[in-house]
Amino acid sequence: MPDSTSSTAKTPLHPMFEKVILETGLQLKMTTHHASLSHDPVDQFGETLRSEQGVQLKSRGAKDLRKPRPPPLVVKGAELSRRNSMLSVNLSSPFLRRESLTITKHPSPGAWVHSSRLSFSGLPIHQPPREIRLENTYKTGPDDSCRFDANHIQQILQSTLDGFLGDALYSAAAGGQLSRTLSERLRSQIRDISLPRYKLISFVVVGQCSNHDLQVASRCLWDTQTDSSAVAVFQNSSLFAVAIIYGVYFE
Amino acid sequence: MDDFQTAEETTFVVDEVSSIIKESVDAAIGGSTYQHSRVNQWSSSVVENCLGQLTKLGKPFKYIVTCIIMQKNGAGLQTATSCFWDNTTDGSCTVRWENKSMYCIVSVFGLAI
Repeated sequence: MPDSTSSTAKTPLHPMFEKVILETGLQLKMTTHHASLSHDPVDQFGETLRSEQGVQLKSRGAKDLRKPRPPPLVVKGAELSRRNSMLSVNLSSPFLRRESLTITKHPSPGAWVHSSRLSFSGLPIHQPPREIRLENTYKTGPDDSCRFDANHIQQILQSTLDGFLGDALYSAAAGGQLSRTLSERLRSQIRDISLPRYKLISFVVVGQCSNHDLQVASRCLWDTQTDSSAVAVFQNSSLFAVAIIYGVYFE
Repeated sequence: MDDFQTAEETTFVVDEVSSIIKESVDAAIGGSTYQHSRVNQWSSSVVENCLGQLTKLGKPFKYIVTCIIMQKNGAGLQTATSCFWDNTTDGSCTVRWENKSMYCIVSVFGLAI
């Protein structure tokens, strides 16, 4: 039953192993009997990790053992490097944020999920800003339960119009601001309840009630199965308002 | 299949759409006087003309065309739009047209696919 410490002393380990040992405080001496089954230090190390650390580190450790890595930092400077990386995280946090927010529009077929690399101590290693490429979802349309619900949205529009314009009076100066505010408010309201991958257009017409005629018409070129619109009309003695919301699915 | 479309083919070109709208409105209600009975037909033809011309451009866009026809009576009217979309590829164009008896406001929204 070879002692694994002696085996590690004899066989030159990959430099990465040393870093792992120091940082996780592993004692290779504490091997169980099944570690002796293989003489390969790599396997022994992996098994030790598995028995000591649990699932997450095991997958990390097992991966790293197999992959060739760039030469890591010197062992003695490991403490310093951890502190440095802590500082660098704060300074470069805009980079990290940018990294997480950048998404390519057309992921290639071989796109991979990319996350920030973590050192074994759990601190993020500073990476140069890179685009994050998401995996293909292979979805061509929204789920059945996630479509643009015209009825529900029409009720929301109507209640907002009634609440906002209840007793308002039309004035030429304030009318413009009123319609803009209403449009943005409706859009953000619908945005809050709306489903992902839907583009929204909010169209509001506010006019003075007078002895005249008005017609609002719209026609759309879209996919009728995924896209829809909702309309609400409000009228009081001095003004009228028409609100239309279009929801267009974005592939 | 790579799409080697130029930027012009995948972004909303406002000038082009604006001229299409003006042509459509002139063709539909060019010299007419406001008549309540014909407004329905006019707004439909304005919108359909616009949409037909836009599809002929052959760009990968979904279009929304809105038309407001209002009789001139001294009353005030305000319109506002607010859009949640991709600024780089999507766009809108609004044209205000008038003659002696009526106003016509046409808005076209183009959303990239």
